Amino acid sequence: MRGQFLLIPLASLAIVAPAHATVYLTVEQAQQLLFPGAEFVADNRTITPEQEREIERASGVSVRNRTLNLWRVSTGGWFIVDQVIGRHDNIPYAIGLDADGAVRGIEILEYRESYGGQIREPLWRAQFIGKRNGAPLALKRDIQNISGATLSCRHIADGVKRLLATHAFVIAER
Amino acid sequence: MTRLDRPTSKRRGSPRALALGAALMAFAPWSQARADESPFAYTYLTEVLPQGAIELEQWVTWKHKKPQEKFDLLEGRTEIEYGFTDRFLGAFYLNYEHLKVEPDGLGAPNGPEDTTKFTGVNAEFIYQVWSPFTDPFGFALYFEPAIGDGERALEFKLLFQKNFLEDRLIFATNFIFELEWEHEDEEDIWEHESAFEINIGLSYRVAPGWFVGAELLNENSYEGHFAEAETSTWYVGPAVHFASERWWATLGFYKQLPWAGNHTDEPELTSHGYVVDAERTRLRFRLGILL
Repeated sequence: MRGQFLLIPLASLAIVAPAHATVYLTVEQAQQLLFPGAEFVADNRTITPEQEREIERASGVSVRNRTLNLWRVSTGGWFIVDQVIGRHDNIPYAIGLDADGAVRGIEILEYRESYGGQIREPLWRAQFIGKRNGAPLALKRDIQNISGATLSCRHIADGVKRLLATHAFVIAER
Repeated sequence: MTRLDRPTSKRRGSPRALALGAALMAFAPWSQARADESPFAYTYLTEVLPQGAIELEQWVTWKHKKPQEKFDLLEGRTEIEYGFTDRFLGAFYLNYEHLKVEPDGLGAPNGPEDTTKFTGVNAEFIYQVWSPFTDPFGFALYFEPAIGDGERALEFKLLFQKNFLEDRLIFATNFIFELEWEHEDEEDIWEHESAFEINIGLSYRVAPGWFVGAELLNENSYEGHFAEAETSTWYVGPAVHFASERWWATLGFYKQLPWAGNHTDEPELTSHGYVVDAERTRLRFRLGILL
C-alpha cells in the first residue's frame, strides 16, 4: 500500500495525448479562396534594415523575419504568407491585398494552440476586409476580441497591421 | 506559491521550533496552485482557462537536504481545473506525500521517519480582473480554502502579470497571504499561524513552445495571524517550460539563498544565513493535460 499515491503522477503521464498540428489550408488552397481562378507568381522580397525601421515605426510591431513570402496575383493584387506568435506555437496565415493595398481577406493556414480556434470563424476574419495601412487594427477598437482567444486575436491583428505597413514601404514603393 | 512550497520544517529539536515546523508542515499539504498553464513552477500568471475548458494537472515536488539529517520529501498533487467563465476558474485537488528522514550525527534534531500518506484537499478560485493582453497589465484575485486532518487554512493571492516584447517576455509577481488553524490535540486548542510570501518570475520564449526563465521566492512565517514575525526564507532558481496543443510541462529547480531573516529571540533557527529547518533545494515538475 505504501507509495500507492506516488503512482498517480505516472498514471497522468500515461494519458498525455500526442499533439497533432491542425493544417486547415495549404498555400494553394488559400490562394484560390482569396483570389479564385487567378494565377500566382512568386515574388519574394528581402526587407532592408531601413524598410524594417519604417515598418516598425508605422505599425508599432516588430519585424521578426525579413523574408517576405510574396506572390503577385494575375488579376491584380498581392498574396502574402506570414506567421505570428501564438500562446505556444506560431500561427501561419495568409493575407490577400488588392492592388491598392487594402485587405481582401485573411485565411488561417494552421492552428496548433489549445484554445482560440475561433479566429478561423469567417465573421471574425471579415473584420479585416478593406483595412489599409494606418488603420488602428486594435482589440476593443476596430477589431473585436474573442474571449478565450485574446492573444491569438491580438497577434493576428498586429500581424495584419505589420503587413499593411510592409505593403506601403516594400511592395508599393517598387 | 503556497504552503506546499514553504520550507518543510516539521522536524526540529526545540519545542518552539517543533511547533513552528509543525505549523509550516501543516501548510504543506495544501496549496501551491496556479491558474492554468504557467512558465513558472511556483509563480502564477493572471491567465485563466476559457469557459468550459477542463484541465488535469499533476504536480510532483521534491524537497531535499537539511542540516544533520538526510531529508527527502516527495509531494504529489493531482488537480482538476474548470473554466466557469472566461475570467473565473475553479479547481479541486488532492495532496499526498512520501517523507524519509535519517538522522545524521549526534546532534540530529529528529528521529528516523519513512512515511507515505494522504495529506489533504484544496479548492481554488481565481478571478481575472484585467487581462495581460488587452489591459496595461494583468491582475487576478485568488482564493483558496483547504482542509486536512486537524488543519484548516485560507489563502489569498494578488496576481500580477506584464508581458513585453510582443508577449515573448513574461514578468509575473504574486503576493500571498496565508492564514492557518491547526488543532493541538493535547491541549485541545486551535493554534494560529500565518505567512506572507512574494514570488517573482521572468521567462522568455526562446523557441515555439519553449520558455526559459527564473524565479525568486521569499517566504515569511508568522506566529499567530501576522502577530509576530519569525523567519524569512529566500529561494532562487531556473524554470523551463514546454507546451503543445494538448499538454504542457514545467520544471523548476531552486536553492535556498543565505539571506535568511530571523526575527525571533532564538538564534538557532538560522545558521550561516540559512533557515535551518527549511530544505536547501527544491525540484518541481508540473504537467497539465487538456481534457
